[in-house]
Amino acid sequence: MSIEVSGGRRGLTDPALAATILAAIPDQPLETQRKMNYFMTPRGKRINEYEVLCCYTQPTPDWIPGGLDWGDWTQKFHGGRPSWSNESTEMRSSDWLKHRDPAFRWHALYVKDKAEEWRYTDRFLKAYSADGQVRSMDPVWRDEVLGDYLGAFGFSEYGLFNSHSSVVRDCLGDTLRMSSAMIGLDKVDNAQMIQMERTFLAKLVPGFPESTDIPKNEWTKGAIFKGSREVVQQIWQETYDWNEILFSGHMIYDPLFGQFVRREFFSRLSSYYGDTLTPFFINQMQLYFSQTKGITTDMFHTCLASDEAFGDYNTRLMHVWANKWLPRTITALKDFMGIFAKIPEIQGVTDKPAIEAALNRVFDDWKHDFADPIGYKADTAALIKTVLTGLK
Amino acid sequence: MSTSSNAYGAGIMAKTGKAFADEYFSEENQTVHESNEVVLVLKKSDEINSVVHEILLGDRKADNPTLIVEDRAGYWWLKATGKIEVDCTEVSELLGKHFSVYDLLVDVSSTIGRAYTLGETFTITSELMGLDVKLQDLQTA
Amino acid sequence: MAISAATKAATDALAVNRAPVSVGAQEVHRWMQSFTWDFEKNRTKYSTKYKMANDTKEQFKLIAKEYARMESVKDERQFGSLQDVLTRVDAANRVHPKWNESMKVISNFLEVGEYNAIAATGMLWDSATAPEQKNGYLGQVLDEIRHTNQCGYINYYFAKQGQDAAGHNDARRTRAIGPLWKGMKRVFSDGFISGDAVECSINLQLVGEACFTNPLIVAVTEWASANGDEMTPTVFLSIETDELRHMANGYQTVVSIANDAAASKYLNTDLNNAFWTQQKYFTPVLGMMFEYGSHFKVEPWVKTWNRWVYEDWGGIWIGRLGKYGVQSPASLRDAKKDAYWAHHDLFMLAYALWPTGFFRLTLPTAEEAEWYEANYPGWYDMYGKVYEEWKARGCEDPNSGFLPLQWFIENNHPIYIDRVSQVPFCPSYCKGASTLRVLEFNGKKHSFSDQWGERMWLSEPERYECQNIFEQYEGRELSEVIAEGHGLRSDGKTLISQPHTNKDGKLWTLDDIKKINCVFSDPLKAL
Repeated sequence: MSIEVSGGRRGLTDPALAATILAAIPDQPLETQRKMNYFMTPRGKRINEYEVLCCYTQPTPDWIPGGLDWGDWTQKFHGGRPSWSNESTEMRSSDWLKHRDPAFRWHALYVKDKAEEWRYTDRFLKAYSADGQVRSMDPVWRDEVLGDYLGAFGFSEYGLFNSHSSVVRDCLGDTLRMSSAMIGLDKVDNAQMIQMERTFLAKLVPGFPESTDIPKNEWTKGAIFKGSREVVQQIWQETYDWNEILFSGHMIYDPLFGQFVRREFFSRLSSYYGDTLTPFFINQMQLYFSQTKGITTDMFHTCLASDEAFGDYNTRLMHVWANKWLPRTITALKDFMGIFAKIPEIQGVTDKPAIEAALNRVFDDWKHDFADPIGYKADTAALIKTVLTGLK
Repeated sequence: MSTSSNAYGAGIMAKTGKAFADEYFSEENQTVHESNEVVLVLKKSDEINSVVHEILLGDRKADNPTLIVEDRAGYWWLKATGKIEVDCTEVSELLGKHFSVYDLLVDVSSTIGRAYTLGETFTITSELMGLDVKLQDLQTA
Repeated sequence: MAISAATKAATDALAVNRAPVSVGAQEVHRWMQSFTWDFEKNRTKYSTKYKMANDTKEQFKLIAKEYARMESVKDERQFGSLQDVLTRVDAANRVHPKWNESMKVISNFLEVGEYNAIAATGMLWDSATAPEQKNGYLGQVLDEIRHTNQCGYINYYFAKQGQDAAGHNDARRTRAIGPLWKGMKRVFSDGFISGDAVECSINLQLVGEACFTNPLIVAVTEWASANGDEMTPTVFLSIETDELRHMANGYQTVVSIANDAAASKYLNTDLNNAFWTQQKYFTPVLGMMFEYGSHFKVEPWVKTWNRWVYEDWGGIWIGRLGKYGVQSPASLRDAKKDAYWAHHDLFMLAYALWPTGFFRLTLPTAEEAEWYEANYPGWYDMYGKVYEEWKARGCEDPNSGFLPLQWFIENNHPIYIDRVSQVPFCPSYCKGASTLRVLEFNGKKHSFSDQWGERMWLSEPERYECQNIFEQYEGRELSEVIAEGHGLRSDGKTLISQPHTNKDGKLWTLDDIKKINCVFSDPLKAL
């Protein structure tokens, strides 16, 4: 029989080819160790599928801690800067490959979740529209708050999304890289969901402006988002240390500013204004926030702050970064307080005590989830007091 | 075997040994030559097999008489002059289920040429999209 | 609560039409271009000599959620096939042993390219200014994670279910021992991520993906199928369903700089460098894997190369861009010569150094030798008769004490490593486009196999300083190197690599290698 075959013949199903193949196969398997990556230390009791498919895909030499390769880079940047290097961050690690997404999501699991969310979003929007629920929405809330300010908040999410690009390029570990890309995609998804809601409203409400012009004007020139715009720009384009980008965005700015805007403003208030649509989208964003929190607290608390060799140093550095980014975030929140003057007041909901209670929830959460685990001391009452000075 | 110049084994590919080498190493073949063809690789699947046989080689065969389809085991290899287009609303009707342009992309394995989507239509063209021809956004009412 | 005119209109509209309404992906996507804003320090962290346009479009109009849905459907199909029917029919144990070995290399090395492409497209996402272009690169970032996981899944599946798990189960650790690794890193790792961002895009997308993924990920599936492997087509053809968006990204990168004055100055040089960089490794390695790593052959590698690289990529991508000043790569003539001969040259060297691999290699049978001679006239005189000599000296038998590397030493055919591509070559015994050039810089000698790499090094030697395996291993005994690089099976003594796939043949152990006392030397020191 000729060894050249073509026209789509398959060794699995073609009897002649299959007979040749089967005759060549060893009677017994040649190797008994069947577990891929058997040499690695798993996070849990056994190596799981996520660890098999993701860990040690980073091909760094052993002079970047965790790497299995040897020697130099085979091609460098113009001028000789290395492909990846320890100098890309001020953080130190004994093993840059140690991080795990607590949900152990490799790509297939990540997109499966998001695909389900999309399918349900499509069905939800159909039900909402057929039900005529939009009729109950307060017009000021709808036209000004959702049309302008929710749209403007989309730029905050979009800017944070872009801050992940250099992290994805520069970070020193495989699981770090994959997690960073996923939490980055979630941020652009948030921005797209905001525009999706606005496009949807434009379909249901004749005259509702679908264009991004007004929100962009609010974001770039308005006072309410001035502080947040500046923080986002600084995280996105002025910060080069990939760990500092993740820390400033996900351990300071988003848990405080993002959480207040999403959960305590848009989601909490929407029902008071007859809006049952916005919470649907915000709750997806809140799911992403909680998943991201699991990822970044693993990166910074479980791995870096607990590193046997560098934990103390890393913790001190996190305090320095918190001191740098917290005041900026407080300014962003203070500026955002101006939004309460733009909406119809509801006693016990949008008045100062209610806002203060909302701020307390956000700062308590932040203290519990982000500050306490690294021993960072912040006078949250004083911070809240500063924020409240932004109320008009 | 097809005699079309777009066939998998056309031209120099039909030659072997020294005859192949002579043409392969000939002076005229030491630089690239502009081609107005497009190549599409479709991973075989239940839906793709229907698209190939019942639309591209069926109802829409007259749209592009230069189209060649060849069986390469796991995939269909398609080559045509100019462009190949698939309207997924037609595919939906054929399959009896919703089949979006992104469902088609699930099994579109490779493209040589400029491929794009607009609405529910997938196009691969030899035109230089973005340079000679502007890429359009979806227009809504 | 006051009812505004708009609310009344909405109410009226509902009275007329109560049909459910949703929002399609493209209805959101058409606003993407307006998602960014100008601010003073809005510039990329990765410099490029080109200026990318602000209005570059994305060809497939995806948003995050529709991307996820589409990919999820792909995954349901491929993982469903693997976990269900292919497992039930015991497909992993119906693959020809030679091909089982090839997939150790192909899948793992492709994984490295995919992994590095995550970082590469992160850089491009940062560099692009148009939000649609950023969106295209972002989609690619996620795709590359998918592909990394998919390639890993192939090795994982073969390890779990196949006939020889060794090498599949630890490729990420053992791959660094041998002579193919550093070249792979240059072409698939550093070549994608270290340099001018647009230059990296040309390497990754316009050449790597638009050109070489077609043989590497598409054509390979026909070879796999012929040799009994239906796992690889299931996964690789699904990988390639993402590549078309990557090719579009690469093309749109060119579109974004087409009107930039820098393009007329630099684009052809960058394109030629990228083409040579990619072909220098892919051409011989893929040809070797296809032809020498299979039992059943689909067609000569040179034909595969001629179709996908020369005729289709050359004509349909590069040729069509001619009117925008894009020229046929100057290195094409040498590349074509390599496509005909370089994989035969490389197999000789890879086989000579077989103990450093993480896979088993097999010398051609008499039947295969006939096939090679028929398709590559002159093959027997150059290669076939040498293999006959090696076989006669017992190269497959652990008791022979013969490693084919000795043949090169005995016949005074030194093997060098090209400093830029890191690809090994034997200038005195090859038919591909390799000739020896040696240059000295800062007291260190560097060997080069061709003018194209030499030119790259001459203009920027600081980019290509990496030591090669002969420099790294100089003075070390071979069995020590293998043990240190974890090149052993789970019994702790048998090598993962072997010089045959004969099921009745004896397997070499570390002791067999130790007895030969093969010590590495740096050929440049002898010059």
